[in-house]
Amino acid sequence: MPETARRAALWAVLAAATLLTSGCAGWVRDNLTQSPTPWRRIQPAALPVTLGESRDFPIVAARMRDTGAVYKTYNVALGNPTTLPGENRLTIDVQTLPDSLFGALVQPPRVFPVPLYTMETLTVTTRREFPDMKVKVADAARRNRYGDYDYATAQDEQNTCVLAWQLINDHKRMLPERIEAVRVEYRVCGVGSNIRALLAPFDGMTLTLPETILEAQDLGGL
Amino acid sequence: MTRPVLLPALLLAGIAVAGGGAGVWSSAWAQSNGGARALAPGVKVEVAPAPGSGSAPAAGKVDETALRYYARIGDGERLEAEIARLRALDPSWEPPKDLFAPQPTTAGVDESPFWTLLSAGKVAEARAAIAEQRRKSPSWQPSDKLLQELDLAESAGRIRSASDTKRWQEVVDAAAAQPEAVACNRLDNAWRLAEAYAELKQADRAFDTYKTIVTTCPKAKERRDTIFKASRYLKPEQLRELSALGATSNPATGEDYSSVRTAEAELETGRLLERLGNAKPGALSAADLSRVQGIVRDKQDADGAIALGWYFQKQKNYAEAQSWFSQANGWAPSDKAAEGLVLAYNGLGEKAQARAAAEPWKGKSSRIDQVLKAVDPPRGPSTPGGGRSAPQGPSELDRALARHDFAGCIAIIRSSIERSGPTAALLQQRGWCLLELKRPSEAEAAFVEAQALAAREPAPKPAKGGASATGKGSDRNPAASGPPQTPTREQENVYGQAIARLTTGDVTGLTRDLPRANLTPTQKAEIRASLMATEAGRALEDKRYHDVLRLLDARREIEPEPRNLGILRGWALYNLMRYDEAYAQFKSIDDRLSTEDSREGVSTAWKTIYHDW
Amino acid sequence: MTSPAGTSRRDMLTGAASLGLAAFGLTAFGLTAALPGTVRAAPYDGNAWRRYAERFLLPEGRIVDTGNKGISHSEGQGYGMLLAVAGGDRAAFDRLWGWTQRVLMVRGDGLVAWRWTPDGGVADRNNASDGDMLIAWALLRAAETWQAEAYRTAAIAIVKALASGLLVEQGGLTVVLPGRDGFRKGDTLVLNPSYWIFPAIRAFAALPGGERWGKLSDSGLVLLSKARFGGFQLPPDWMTLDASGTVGIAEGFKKQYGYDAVRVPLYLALDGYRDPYYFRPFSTLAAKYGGKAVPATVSLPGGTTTQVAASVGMLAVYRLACQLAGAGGEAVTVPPLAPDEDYYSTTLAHLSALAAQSLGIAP
Repeated sequence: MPETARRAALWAVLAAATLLTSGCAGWVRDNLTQSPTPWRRIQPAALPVTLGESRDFPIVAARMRDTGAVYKTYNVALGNPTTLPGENRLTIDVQTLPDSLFGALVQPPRVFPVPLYTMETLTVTTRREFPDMKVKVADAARRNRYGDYDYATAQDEQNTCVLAWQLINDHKRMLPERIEAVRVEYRVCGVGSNIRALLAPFDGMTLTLPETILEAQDLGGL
Repeated sequence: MTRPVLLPALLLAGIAVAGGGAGVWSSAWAQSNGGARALAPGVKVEVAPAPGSGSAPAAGKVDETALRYYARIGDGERLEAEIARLRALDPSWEPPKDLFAPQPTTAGVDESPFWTLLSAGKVAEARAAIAEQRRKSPSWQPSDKLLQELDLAESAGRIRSASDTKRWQEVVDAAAAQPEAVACNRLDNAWRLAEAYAELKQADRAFDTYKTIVTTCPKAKERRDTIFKASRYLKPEQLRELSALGATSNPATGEDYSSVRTAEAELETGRLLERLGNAKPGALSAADLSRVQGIVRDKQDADGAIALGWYFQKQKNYAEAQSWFSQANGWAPSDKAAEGLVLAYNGLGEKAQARAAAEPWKGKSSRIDQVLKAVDPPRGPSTPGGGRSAPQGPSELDRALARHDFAGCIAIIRSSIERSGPTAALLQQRGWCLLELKRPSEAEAAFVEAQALAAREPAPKPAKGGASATGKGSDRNPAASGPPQTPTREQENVYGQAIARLTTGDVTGLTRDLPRANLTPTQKAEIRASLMATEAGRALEDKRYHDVLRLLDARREIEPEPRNLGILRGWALYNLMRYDEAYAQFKSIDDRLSTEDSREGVSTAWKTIYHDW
Repeated sequence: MTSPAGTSRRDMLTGAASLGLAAFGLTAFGLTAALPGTVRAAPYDGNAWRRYAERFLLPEGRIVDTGNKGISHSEGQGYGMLLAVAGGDRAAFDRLWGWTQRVLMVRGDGLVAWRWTPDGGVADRNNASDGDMLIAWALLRAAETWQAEAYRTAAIAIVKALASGLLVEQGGLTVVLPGRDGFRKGDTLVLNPSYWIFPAIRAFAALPGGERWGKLSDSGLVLLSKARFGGFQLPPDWMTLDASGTVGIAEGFKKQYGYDAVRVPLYLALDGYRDPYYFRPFSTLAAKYGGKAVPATVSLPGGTTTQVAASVGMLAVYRLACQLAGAGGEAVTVPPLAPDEDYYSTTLAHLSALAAQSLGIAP
């Protein structure tokens, strides 16, 4: 029934808006809350992620910033044993559900796109991250504790780099109620040609957010 | 109401097929747009501003509403064109003298309020008022001319919004529905149409559209701007053709088309210069290279000369590099030019010359202080020979630095450390090279490590012990008063850390720590300037435009404003609606070296000022 | 195209409007009854109302949305009350108004809770401005038709509550928020073009102190000229208006022209507007599909259409739009209402008939 569709869609949105704004009479325009805060240094211990000990890719620095009340972004700079330009890093974006009535109405634009990459944006990114290297997008996904992820590799005579990306948004089974999605991106260059070794820290990573994210292995059915 | 079939429609149908038709097409286009050449010579308008000073002759026969509209909005060209048109309809007709007086028109309804709204750009409001009027007076109909002008204004808006949101097919559709909206006096629409074709991969139509513009629109500036616009989409040979056509086709008297002829070459230069920075040796053809050199010389373009200098420096053609850096320094002295010059002399093995070139900036510019290390490398235990500046050729590391080979720098330092352990000097140098490789987190760590090591190293000598060879070594004591103060090694390390933190975006932390940081006043000022630049960028994003200017003004007290911040300043002025100043700002940057950014600023500000969207 | 009879009816309508009376009332409801001879056929009349009431009016006084699990809402009550006045059925009108007051007017601010379900009663206490406007307008109509001051008093109370809580100035325009709560995102408003019920707004503007409603009407026309998207230049169901007066397609809603916005030409026509410019987007859409299987929704600005075809009532609106756009009413084929035609379609069909009558272009 077309009308049903009309009504359902419209008033579902309205009802949500209603709930969240009641009692919010005086509107304060606050543009600044929507743009990202500057990066600030944090201790590696304060990161919501644990990486296995790695001689080649130690944590050099950790930073975070907020975007609105919804996004927290963590940037972990990792050691880079090569002479290539660009930092090795792990980036984690945590999208939480707004915890205030106000926050629900003024959501900042999403800090990462979904899908995370298209062929076009991936090309742009790899060209920027790995200039003058031969880039290949992996045909098959790999799996870490949080399910499947995709990656691309780049190589020159001496070095190999990987770019891996993953969107964790399984609300039903993995994510706690308060978390809407987690985006993880991993960019590492190393000497040699062992792709698996480069991906090892990403494969072994554990997310340690305040509420537990269940791992894919925990869920027998996956 | 029927409209004459306008030839611009052909453009949309793809005129590419009809090669011979272009001439006809062009003249009609210019004419339909009220190009001055299309008018009969000697047309003059007499205007008596006092209302009611005379009655309109031949009233009721000739529809003068549009005429009055053009008079009201002060559009002289279209006013003349309309007079010519009405004359053609009725040779006995004379333009009214009371062009500015409100006139009741058909059926007792005065159309002038609608025209007033329209001329104020309030198209939707005009539509609303007309609908309301038609509701009240069902027998009344607005004049065809009014409806036509409204349609035109709306189509232009539609083309604009469709192209702003990259709905290219809709741009083409909207233009097809209203071909008059694409014309010389609506040049922006024509540009957007061409862009839409290009984005739709209809390269021929895009080229034809650009070609039509540069051969029919009379103003040299417009033709030139069109070529710049087209540069995003067309091949160099097509641009060359546009330049040639634009410089010769259908010239209007009083217009100087020489700037059109050179447009393509300038464009090419800008593009080449932008490419020069990352070009691999030999990436540019000899012809390209000599063209760039010619234009840089003609325009005495210091930035261009520096780019050329680096191009040659990378090829280890130090002599050629030296000559361009000298040239740049002569046209506009800067530490950037001096930096290149120092390294070029160093590459030539002329250390004394290198030091002399650095002299004016020493202690004032970290860039120069940094680069001097390649001339007189800081010595640590790892330096072969170890002794005090024994005469020797540049080390492997020096040569890597002189080549701007920062990956090499990292590799050499690593093997040196593996061989004979780390030194503070090596770690510091590693920090600088990591920074160049855009690895600021590791760079910061390297500086921290260097600082820790320096504290343990015995009796740190002044950082540039070797520099005393330049003579004038009267006072090297950092504690002594009087600028410039040479930074100690610790200060160098702290400075390196600050630069690294700046690069990682740690603005807040750095701002907090800066007052207590052990830095020379010069270094501190430089960091402050960079912080302000970063803040200004953030302020622009937050739309705090007054803040942008405040920060940039404060920054300019510390050091001259670079190009990119000049552009930032331009946009802040623009957004504060200080359009004249914004235009002047963009123009002054564009005149030095025209790039996509500067052109965009110039053209946007220009169009805003002259309502030429 | 306009018959002589039609012309004279228009003239009288204009005269009435200039006296500050509710134009719609005097034509669709009043004139039809007063001058039966000038009307060739009355597509909406007492019989039509009785059939409508049999199908959609429950004994307790609520209009049931048959397309939507038998719920009721303020919009349905408003439409029912309007059609009851036009059908001359005061008893039914009183039942409708009684249930509305008793069950839906529980907010305490004079506005109407918008939604009621058979299982849960009032399911959402927020108001829907179009429902409030329809009810108030129907009450004004009733007050005039049956010379009953109580209806008028009740109407004025709703109009005042609407004016104080829902009318807002933004970007130089006066607009009506779709509901009391929500619909502001930062300094951008979310609006619904089909909530501009022009004839109702005109009736409110004629009340003492109704100037802002006059501005709302003017602003509505401005917005409808600005809010044109996609190849057909159609208004979206949900739009945004920012502080600078720029309009857009609202995020978070379906980005489309559809079941809501189809009422835009209907309300314009009901208020006597006949500028082809405002009807052309709808007639262009109908013409593109040969006036038959017109898609029910069109995505904006992309232009993707659904497989679902417009209902009979929507086609009736398209016929009206085509007539006013100068494309001719024959451009659209409107089948007769099916026995099980749903509430929304039937309502649109009847209101289109009333609009055509009031403009003198019926049947």
